[in-house]
Amino acid sequence: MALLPPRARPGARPVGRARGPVRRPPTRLPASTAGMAARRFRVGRIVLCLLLLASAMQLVLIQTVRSGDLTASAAKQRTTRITIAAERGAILDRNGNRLAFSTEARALVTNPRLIAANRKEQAPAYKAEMAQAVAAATGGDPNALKALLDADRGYVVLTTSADPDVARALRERFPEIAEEQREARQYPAGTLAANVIGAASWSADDRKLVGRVGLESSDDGALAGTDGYQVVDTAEGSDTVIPGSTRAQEPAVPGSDVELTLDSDLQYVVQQKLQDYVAKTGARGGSAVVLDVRTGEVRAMANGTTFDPRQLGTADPATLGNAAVSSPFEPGSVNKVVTMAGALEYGLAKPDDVLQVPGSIDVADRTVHDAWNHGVDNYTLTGVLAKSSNVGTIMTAEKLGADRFSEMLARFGIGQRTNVGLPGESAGSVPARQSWSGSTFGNLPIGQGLSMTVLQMAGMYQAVANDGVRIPPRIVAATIGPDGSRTAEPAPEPVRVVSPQTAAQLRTMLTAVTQKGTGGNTGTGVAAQVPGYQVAGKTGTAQQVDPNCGCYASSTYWITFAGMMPAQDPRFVMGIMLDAPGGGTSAAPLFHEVASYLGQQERIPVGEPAPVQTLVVP
Amino acid sequence: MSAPVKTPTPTRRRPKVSVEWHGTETRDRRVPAQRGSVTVPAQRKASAAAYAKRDERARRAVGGPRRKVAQVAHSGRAQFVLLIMALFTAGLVLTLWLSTAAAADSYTLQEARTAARDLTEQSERLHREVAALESAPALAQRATDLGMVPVQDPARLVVAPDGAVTVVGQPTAAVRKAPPAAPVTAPPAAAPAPAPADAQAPTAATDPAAQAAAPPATDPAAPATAAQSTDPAAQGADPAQAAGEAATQQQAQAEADRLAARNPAQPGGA
Repeated sequence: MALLPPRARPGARPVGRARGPVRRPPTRLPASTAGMAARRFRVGRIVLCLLLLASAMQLVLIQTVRSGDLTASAAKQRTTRITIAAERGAILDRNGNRLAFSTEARALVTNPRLIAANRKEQAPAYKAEMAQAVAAATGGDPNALKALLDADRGYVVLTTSADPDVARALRERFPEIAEEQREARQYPAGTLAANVIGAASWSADDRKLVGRVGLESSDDGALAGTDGYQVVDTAEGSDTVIPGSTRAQEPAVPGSDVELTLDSDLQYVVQQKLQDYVAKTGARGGSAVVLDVRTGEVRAMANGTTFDPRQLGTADPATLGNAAVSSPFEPGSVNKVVTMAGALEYGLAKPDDVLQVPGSIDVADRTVHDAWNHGVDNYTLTGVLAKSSNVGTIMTAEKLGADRFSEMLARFGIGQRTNVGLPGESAGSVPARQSWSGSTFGNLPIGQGLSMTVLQMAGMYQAVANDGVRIPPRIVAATIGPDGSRTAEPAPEPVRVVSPQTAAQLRTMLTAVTQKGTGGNTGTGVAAQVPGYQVAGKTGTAQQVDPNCGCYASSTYWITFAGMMPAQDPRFVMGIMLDAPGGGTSAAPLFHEVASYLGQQERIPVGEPAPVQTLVVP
Repeated sequence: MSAPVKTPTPTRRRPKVSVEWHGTETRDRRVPAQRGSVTVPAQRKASAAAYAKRDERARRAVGGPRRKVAQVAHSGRAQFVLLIMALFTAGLVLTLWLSTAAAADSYTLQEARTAARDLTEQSERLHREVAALESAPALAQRATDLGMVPVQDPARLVVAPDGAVTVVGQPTAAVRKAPPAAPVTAPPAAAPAPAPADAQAPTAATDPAAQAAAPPATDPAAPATAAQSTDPAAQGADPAQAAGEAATQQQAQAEADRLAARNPAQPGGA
């Protein structure tokens, strides 16, 4: 309307008339004004119609043609998919003690830049107060927190594992602090069995705990559970759920608990004693495994070095592994039991057969010596084992033959993974039968030229202890679902290695290793004796390969011991390996310490001392 | 209503009136006049009277004393109104009460939720503390702090069926070694020095009471029990004392069942 020309005012007419007579007749003036008005009306109507038409078209366009797109994008703006986190399952020992479990926690974050902008000159004092309060409540370092807050950043994480109530109190006191929901992993026993359990830590990408090492990593699928979700509408720019707007939801399924066969107390003792012993003997490392003879369950598994899963970030990566299953070594004389088992099983020898053992023997192009110098001595077969004569063992192995020896190794599980249930398990290595050279058969019977893990070594002796039936070791006993249903792990398939008679003879022979007799009738593992019990076992010393020359080094050894207790009715088998300890070290004293503890803890009845067997015949 | 005006035919109007009477039961005879919607011309009085009679007959045919029916109807309506009012009032009161109760309950619910949350958090914290305190390393540490000493090789008393008692093993006092290293992440820097093989005359071994009192600064007493495995002949110099200590030993064993044990001296030899 403002664009229309102004109407002539009535008062102006006389003036117009006074001027107008020259051009227009006075009678035409009213007719001309009416015509103009009509035209304006017409134009106005057309404009209005056009506008209306445009609006109508736009309306039709929005309501029909673009309706789908617009509805979808509006829904997208409102709809939020909220993930419902599933709680991670716990890891338990055989008695239900929790070795790892999850708790709810909060990460506290804040925006130092915003504090500086809002508080102006009070900001430094306020930040100091905040740092003090957060440190006091969460056990952090006030100076580190102050440094974080003083940085010119838009986002800093003050702590990642505050308790919910602590976080709430802090947030109420300092409105600038925001909470983020977290799940914290607790390892109440710290380093206990850390190499087995491993560690899980918070993953910022997945927004959940993720297993990083050990069982936490390999059993992540069972432990993690399945996150649920909820599709709801939320008010724009906030997390406020509009009631009744739930479109779909799926509840979270918590993770299952994993029950191990480990015994916390035994594990602690073995771990502690092994670590002390490794430190005392100056070894580079070491591993020890305790198996239940009847079930093949792993009762304890320790390594010389370990880490604290609560401080995974600062842990030395070299300590994170589990050498007991991942690091094979050459077992040395511990492997002589294979030869003896074969000889007895095939009826080639009896424990009291006397062998005339020289100081050395030639095998193909090599000469193998005994560990001590001697002429031709008369050793019984028991004596060969108890005194750990390389020459006597090779003589027996030659009677057995390479094929049967090779088969016996396989039956003892050497060169095969035990599938114990731990990540990174090594199978060890045994040269393939067809690739054996002449001297190979001079090495293998005395435990050089092949490698095995401590777990495999303990498994060999478990077969001897369990009347010749080898049960592959297992470390996961069961998984306990979120509904409390316990699913036992499938039992491993037992393997018949030797007959019960052979196993019993072997145990008797192995008892002689720990006997202390007179006139050369003392075995190599006397230190393993436990008062009141008969101990059967075998010491081992294997030369390590010098990486510089690729030959066997003369000063670094793997020192091993594998044994069982009590020998009459074995309950536990233990394998120990020390990596390059100081000279003259034996692993037998460590066996003694753990076995003595086992006798007390398991209340194993004491028995008669073992009769002294004849090792050397004059 | 426009139809009767256009065709005011009595024959079409009367039946309608009579039908209405059945329904409303008005007490006045002059029903049409009372209703006021229909005006009856004066010259039609006779027919009107006839209609009235017919109505009367119809009323009789329906039966019942007319006055009583009217009274019941009147009080029934009042009651109905009262009932509705009462219902409205009751509904209003109920609504008010419900909304008040809901508001009050929402506070109670809020409080209960807060309490439940606090208790859950407390329970979680307590569980965590219990798990930490009952873990093997913590138990070992606390037992050590209490002065308990783990035994290495206990002597055992075996009672034969005839009552004879045999001592199995050599009773020796458990001695406290240097504080056991907490579970380590790396090999401890200083390992206990291997003691000489002939060092089994420690004063601690003869005085069990002293063992818990003062932790030896160095480790001279450690080989006392360990040495027995390497050299049984050299130890247990005093059999009488050994027998006396057997009971102490047994007790110490029970107490220190879960503890980490000390290291024996390294005997050497393979």
